[in-house]
Amino acid sequence: MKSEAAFHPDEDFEQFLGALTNNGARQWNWLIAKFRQKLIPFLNKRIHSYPQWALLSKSQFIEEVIEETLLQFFKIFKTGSFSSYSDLEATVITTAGFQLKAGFGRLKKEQRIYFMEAEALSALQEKHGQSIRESASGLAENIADIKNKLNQLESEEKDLLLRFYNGEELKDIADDLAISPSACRKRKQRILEKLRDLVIKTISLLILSSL
Amino acid sequence: MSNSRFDIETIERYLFDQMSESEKVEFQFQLLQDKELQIEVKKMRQIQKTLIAEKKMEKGSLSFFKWKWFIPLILILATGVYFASQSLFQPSQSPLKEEELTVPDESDKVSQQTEAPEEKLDGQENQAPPNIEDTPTETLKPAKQAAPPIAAADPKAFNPNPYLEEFIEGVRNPELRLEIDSPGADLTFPLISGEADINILGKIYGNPPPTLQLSIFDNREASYEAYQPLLIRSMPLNKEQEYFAFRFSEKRQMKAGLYYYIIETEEEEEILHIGKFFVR
Repeated sequence: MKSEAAFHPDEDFEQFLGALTNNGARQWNWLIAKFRQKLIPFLNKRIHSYPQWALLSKSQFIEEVIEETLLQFFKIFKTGSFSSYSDLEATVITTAGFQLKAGFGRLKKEQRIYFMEAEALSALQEKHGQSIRESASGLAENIADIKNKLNQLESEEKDLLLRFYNGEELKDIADDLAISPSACRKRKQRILEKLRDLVIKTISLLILSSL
Repeated sequence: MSNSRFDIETIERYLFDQMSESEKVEFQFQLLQDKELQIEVKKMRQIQKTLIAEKKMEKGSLSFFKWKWFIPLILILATGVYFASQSLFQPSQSPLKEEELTVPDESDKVSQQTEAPEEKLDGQENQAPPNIEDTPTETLKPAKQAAPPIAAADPKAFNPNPYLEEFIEGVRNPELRLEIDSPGADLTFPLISGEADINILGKIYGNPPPTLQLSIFDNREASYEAYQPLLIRSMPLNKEQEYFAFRFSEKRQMKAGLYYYIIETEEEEEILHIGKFFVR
């Protein structure tokens, strides 16, 4: 990355830290790039056998763990005190270890919840009642909503989304539907936006409540 | 019309891992700064996973439909093979069968009794490969029979789990400080008549949630990677003067070995402490 050469944080760590505290975009981009260089091999080394039944590919899973790690690091950064760059790096590596563990736990949970039928998910959600903070029922509620909405789509629309999200090229799908790729793309966007707007407020509530 | 201010295709490219490295860096920086984008990405990831799961479920039901005609055939063949092996090996194997089923490690006992296995506690041998028959629930279950002698303990059960070792005592949460009172300095719970009295107790300072969660793992890497704890228990916190106390206390039938425990917050699943103990 072109900004990489511009920073030697240990030469003037206080200044670097100050820029990070003020959300300096160049400093943060540099730091995230550095962290990613460390985290990707670190995580790959620790994931010896990635389950075949997982919903995401291994690289997508690693990206999800990195994302969670950076979000957690960002929280720690706001309250913690650091005296050197290696302090920052040690914190992010430790955080990644925990997020990887949480990621493995999430895989298990997801295997149960995403493969349940919408009715069973709704029942699970009802069983847990009002407690939206309970992660399994919160997730079940969202997935039940997505599944219900998916089932309300025209079968052609649902098929389009399923094919695209399972790796088929938009051009091939467009050919099968006898429409142009750009029309296919627009159709996919429109359906997705409907779905996305539908995903209820649980995530928002959970994230906002953590603020 | 979408209510969102975010470009759905950019998020898709991020989730599909189709961005260049520099794009990912910039996107993740934006993510750190923007709570709404975090929500959007979470929503889209749930949609992505749902769509993948739906497709897999479709495929699963189709492949079951194709294969269901083979199931009776496979069962018949398996039954035939079983009876054939019974009649071939009956004279020499049958007396051991029942013993093997109830005490999986028994077959190793004679050869290990002379090897002083406890000296190998810190050995660098490889982890035992995951053994489907030796499931966690079999390892830690209510007492039904006397445990094998300590000399029969599997030395591999004491091999450190390198991944978890790395994080022992390494958790830093500036808001929730945790102190462990038990296991004590020797990290050992004695094995008496096949049972160990496991006591994990300590204090937590700060403003913790009302309940913590304790998970205990055996020492195998596979157990942790597949997230298969031997047990999971809620630990309600009791308010004391300056801290909250937590306690897990249970007498269980266990095998001699090295075990790891993880204490985390129950709802957020935030790890507060990783520790270990020996049973011997």
